[in-house]
Amino acid sequence: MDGSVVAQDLSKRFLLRHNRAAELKVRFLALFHESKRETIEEFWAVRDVSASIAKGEAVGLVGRNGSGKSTFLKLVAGLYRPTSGHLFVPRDARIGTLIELGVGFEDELTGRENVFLSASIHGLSRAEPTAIYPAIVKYSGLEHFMDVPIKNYSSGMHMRIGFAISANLDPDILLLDEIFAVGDADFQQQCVRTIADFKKRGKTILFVSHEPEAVRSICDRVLVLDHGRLLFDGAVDDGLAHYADLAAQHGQQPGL
Amino acid sequence: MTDMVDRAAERSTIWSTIAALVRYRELLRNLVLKDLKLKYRGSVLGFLWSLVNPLIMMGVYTVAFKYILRSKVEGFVFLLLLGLLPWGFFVGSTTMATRSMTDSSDLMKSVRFPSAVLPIATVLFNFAQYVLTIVVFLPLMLVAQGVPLAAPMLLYPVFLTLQVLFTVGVALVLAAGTVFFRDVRHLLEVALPVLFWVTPIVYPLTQVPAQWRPLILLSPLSSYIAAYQQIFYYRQWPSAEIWIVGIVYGCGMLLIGMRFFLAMEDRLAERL
Repeated sequence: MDGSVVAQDLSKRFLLRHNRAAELKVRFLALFHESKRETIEEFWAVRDVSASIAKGEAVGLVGRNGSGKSTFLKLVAGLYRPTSGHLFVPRDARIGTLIELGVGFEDELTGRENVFLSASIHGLSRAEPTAIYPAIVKYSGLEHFMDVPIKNYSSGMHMRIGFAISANLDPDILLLDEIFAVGDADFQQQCVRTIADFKKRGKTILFVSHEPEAVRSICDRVLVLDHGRLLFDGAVDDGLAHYADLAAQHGQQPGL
Repeated sequence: MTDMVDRAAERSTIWSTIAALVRYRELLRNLVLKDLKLKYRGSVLGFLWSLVNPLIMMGVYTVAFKYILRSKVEGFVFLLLLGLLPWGFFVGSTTMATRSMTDSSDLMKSVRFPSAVLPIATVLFNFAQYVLTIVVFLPLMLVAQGVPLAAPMLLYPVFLTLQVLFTVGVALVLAAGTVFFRDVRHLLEVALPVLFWVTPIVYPLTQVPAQWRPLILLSPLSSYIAAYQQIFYYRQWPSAEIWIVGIVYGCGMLLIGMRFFLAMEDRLAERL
C-alpha cells in the first residue's frame, strides 16, 4: 500500500455562509435587518467517493468546474479535513503539489533566499536545501538571477523557480492541478518532461486537467467527477469519452 | 494498511503540535531571519532605528513625568527603560500576530505545515529585536546610573522566558481569532493603551497605593515588568506574588493559546 491513496465513502461538506460577517458591526445590524442575516447553505464538494490509487499509478481527475477535483487534491494534501468517510495516505509520505508555484515567496528576498525559505515551508531541515540547491538553480535556468530580489523577476521567471523547487523536493505523491494553464510552451515542455521522469521513478501522480491530450499522455487511469460524485473509474479513453458526453450535455466543450 | 494514516482521523494534540514545531524549526528560523532582513535591508542606519524609537519615547516620558509632573522617583529614566522595552516587545508581537495568518492566506491554503509557526515567528522576531535593544541599553544604563551588579539580576532570563511564553499564548489566540473575526485587530488597538496604564511602566509597582496593588499586579504584563524593576532597579529578589502571578500567567496563557489554536486549526484553511 506504500505510496498509495485510498478513499472510502469520502465526503467533504462546505458551509456556504451568505452574508457571513467577519465584522462585529454587521453582526449587530443583522439583529434588526432580515436581509443582513447570515444564512448557511450546505455544499458537498466531494460526496461518497471511493477509489484506490496504487503506488506508481498516474491517475487523471476530470470533470467540469466545481466537480470536486481540486477539493479532492486538497483532501489528499491534508489541507482540508474530510467531513465523513476515510482517506488513507501513507504515513510520512512526502506529498508534493504543483498547484502553488511560488506561493510563500517574499518579493524583497533574492531568488536564493526564497529557495531556502520555500524549502523550509515544505518541512526540509537545514542541510537538505543546501544539497538540492544546485539542482534547483540548474533546473530553473536562472543562474544569473539568484541574487536578484524576486520582485524584479518576470512572472515567467517566478513560475520557473517555483516549479524548480517543487520538482526537486522529491515527493512520493505528486498532486498537479491545471499546471498547463500557465506558462509558455518552453515551460510546459519542461513540465511534461518532469512529470514523465516522476512516472519513470514510480511516483504516484494525481493529475487534474481539462485538457484531454494532457490526460492521455500522462495518465494510466481516469476518474470522472461531477457534483462531487464519482461517475466513472477506469481506462483513460473511456473516461475521457464519458467526460466529453457529460460536457456536451451541459453545452460545454471538453477542450475548455 | 498499518503504515497508512487516515486523514479523517488525524487529530493534532498539544504534543503533536510541539513535535511539528520542532520539526519545522528551520522554517521558524527562516521566518524570523526574513523579517529581520526585510526590516533593515536598504536602510542606511539599519539596526540603529530600533534604538531611536525607545530613545524618543523615553525622552518624552521623562520630560512629562520628571519635569512637568515633578515625579520624585529616583533614576526615572532607568525605571522607564525597564518597562518600556518589554512593553514594546509585547505590543510589536501582538500587533504583528493578528495579521500573521490573514497575510499568509495563500500559503496556508496550498501548503500543509504547522500554521502555528506563523504567530510564533512574529513573537520570536520581536523578541530578537527586544534582546538586541536591551543588550545595548541595559549595560549603558547600569553604568550611567552607577548601579552595582547584584545576584537577583541573574533571574532576568527566567522572567524573560515567562514573558515569552505568555506572549506566544496571546499571539496564538489573536492570530487564529482574526481569521474568524477581523475585529480582533481593532479590539487590540483599543485594549493596548488601557493595558499600558494599568501596567507599572511609568511608575514603580511599589508606589501604587496598597489597596490597588493586587489589582495592578493582576494586569497581564505587570508581574513581568514588576520583576524587571525588582531585580534591576531595586536589586531585590522578586516577591512571592510576582513569582506566582508570573508563572501562572505565563504557563496558563500558553496552554490557553494552544488549546484555542488547536480548536480552530482545522477550519483555518477553509475560512481564510
